[in-house]
Amino acid sequence: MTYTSEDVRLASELFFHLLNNRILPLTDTLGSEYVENNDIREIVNIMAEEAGLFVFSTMENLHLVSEKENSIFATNYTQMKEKYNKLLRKKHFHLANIIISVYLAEIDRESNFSFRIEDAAISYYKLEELVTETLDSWKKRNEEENFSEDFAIAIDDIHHLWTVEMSHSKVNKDGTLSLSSNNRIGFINEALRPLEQENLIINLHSEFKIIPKKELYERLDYLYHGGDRYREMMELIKATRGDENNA
Amino acid sequence: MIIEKGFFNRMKKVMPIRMLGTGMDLGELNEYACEICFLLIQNIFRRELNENPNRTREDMISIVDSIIKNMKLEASYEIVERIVDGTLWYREPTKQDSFKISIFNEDTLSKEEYSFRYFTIDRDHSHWEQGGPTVFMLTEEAQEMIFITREILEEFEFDLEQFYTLQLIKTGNLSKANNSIDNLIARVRTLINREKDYRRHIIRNPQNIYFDRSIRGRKSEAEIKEQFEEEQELFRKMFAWKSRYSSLPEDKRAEAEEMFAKLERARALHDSLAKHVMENLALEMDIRVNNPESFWNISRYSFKKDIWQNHIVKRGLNKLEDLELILSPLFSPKIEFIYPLPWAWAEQKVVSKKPIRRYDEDFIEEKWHFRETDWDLLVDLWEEVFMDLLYEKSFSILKLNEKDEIEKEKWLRQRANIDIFMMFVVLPISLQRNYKGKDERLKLFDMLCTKNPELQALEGKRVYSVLEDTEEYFKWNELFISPYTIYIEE
Repeated sequence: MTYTSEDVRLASELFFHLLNNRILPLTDTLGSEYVENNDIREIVNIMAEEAGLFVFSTMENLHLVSEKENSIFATNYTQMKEKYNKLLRKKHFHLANIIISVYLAEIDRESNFSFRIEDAAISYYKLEELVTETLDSWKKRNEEENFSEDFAIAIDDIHHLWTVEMSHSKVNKDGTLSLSSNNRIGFINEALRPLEQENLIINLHSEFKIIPKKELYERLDYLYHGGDRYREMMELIKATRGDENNA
Repeated sequence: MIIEKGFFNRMKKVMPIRMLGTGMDLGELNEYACEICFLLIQNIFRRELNENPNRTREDMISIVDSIIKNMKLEASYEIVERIVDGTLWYREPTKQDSFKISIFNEDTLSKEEYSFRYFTIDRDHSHWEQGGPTVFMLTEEAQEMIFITREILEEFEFDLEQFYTLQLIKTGNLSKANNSIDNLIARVRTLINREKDYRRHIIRNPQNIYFDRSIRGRKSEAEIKEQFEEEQELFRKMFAWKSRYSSLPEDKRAEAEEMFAKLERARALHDSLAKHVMENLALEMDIRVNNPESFWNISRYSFKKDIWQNHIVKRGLNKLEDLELILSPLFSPKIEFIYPLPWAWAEQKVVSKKPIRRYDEDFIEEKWHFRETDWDLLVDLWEEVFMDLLYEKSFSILKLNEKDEIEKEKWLRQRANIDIFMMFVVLPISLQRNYKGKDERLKLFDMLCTKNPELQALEGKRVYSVLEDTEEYFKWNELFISPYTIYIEE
């Protein structure tokens, strides 16, 4: 496969433009090259792959995201992880991951047919309840089912952290709710911050509401809804426990 | 026939009325709950018609407060709040849940869950990105309640409502005509909102072109165009009556003028609806022609069901770290090293994309080593700047204007060369050696001292910056920087 130097020039211009902007509308003159020009798309994909990233396009936007583990780039997410690693609060990081997952599961749709995105917003309280339910159910089944040992121990820890060490919420002197991370409502705010920084949600503190954005649905759609991506994801987390067959 | 066909759908219209004002405890006001909630909905509806965006929860609280006062009742702030929240959400307000009820479905012979709200979010008026509060509007369910309870118990289609309005205008029944135009406006706004939603839906998932049944009753483009023409014709007929109103007495004439002004607004909205519809039809066509592949992808998994509920929640994970693998691709790379000081740069102008390209090509040639700054080059270039600081006590960016092309190219070769200058501009600093932290300026200073021990005399000095009062500026092709000077404080 040979490319003209003009292709390479355009592709690298697009790649760095994308690196700077993270999401480009397809109406962008450079962005549209990705969809319309096969050569450019191939070069950009190769560049992304080399950097541990990948590019995908939706009907409206071009996204550049980090590939699972091997990216040389920091993201809002890896920065959160580093922060917790530094503070030796690994279980807090795990808890944050669970909160993000519960949030995603709650706003995700099994079918992507008509629904108003803004109606999918959920409140901190609702999310708190859902997280508690999830942790409770794991904790309860911890005894009766053979979860992996690692997982079982971690869940005990996290359940304790969430239900015992953290209070439900804390009220400031002026009557507003505290967003400090030592209570559950406050910790939700902190756990979702990477999504907020990534501009995928609107965290409306004043109304304790978390509103997903179109861009988040675009990423959910691409990352988890397609058959190939789904199988990749499952491959990653496939339990190596012995109960695979009798499940 | 004991249970008639369509029972389920009829009950869906009954439930919003039946459940209005339920799910909350207002103590003594319990018996008024339904009435107050209905008045609240009516008031919000009125504000929508008048394009009044004061429809936040706070606004609702003050509306309910006035309603209660007008009804000669008394209520605490908590109760007023409870009424508003209880109309917005079902039961526990903090969860912001929809109203939910199971209704018997005559087709499946079983109960089916139906959920609805009275208020939905008015996206066009909620400025969330600016932290603004949510602005609400009526859902179609709530609007229907308003329509159903009209004096004339028919739910008109747009053109019927138009005929009705025309009749009222003909017979000179101005106040009724006025009301009827309100309904016209409400109707056309609902239709516009539907088109807007529909557009988002099909862009998100083109398959909605086939599955979204709420839109336009699947009429053909020709039928739709014809319908719009008929509706426009009806507007023309209504306006034809305008001239006859000039013979009316003074007070009636004012009322008529107001009515025609409103009618004009209805017509403008109707034109806008036609535009939305035509644009959407064009978009449908465009997707069918240009993105036919978007219809093929039928097999769908979801994070919600397939990854989370049925796998992770049910069976747990090998180890919790695995969750990171799932979540990390949600995020984009951050590249602060290209713009370490975006806020300092914001003031400056990068006129075209060209400089980025120049860097890009360098980066590529360097085989992805672009994360690292070329410190040798930096030290090379900056020695001169620090010598100036040492002997002249200052250095102006304007001095770089004298550079020849080869020197210029060196300065532009990596962003850090200029960025370091901007860092001096933005933040005063005290120069010190053997620095272990992250400030690149001190790392640079340390390296400069090693290269040229003369510069050690600057240790302990503080560097400040000042904007020169001059018309001159620094401009290299695409890069523009205000005339800053950095200087040593004595």
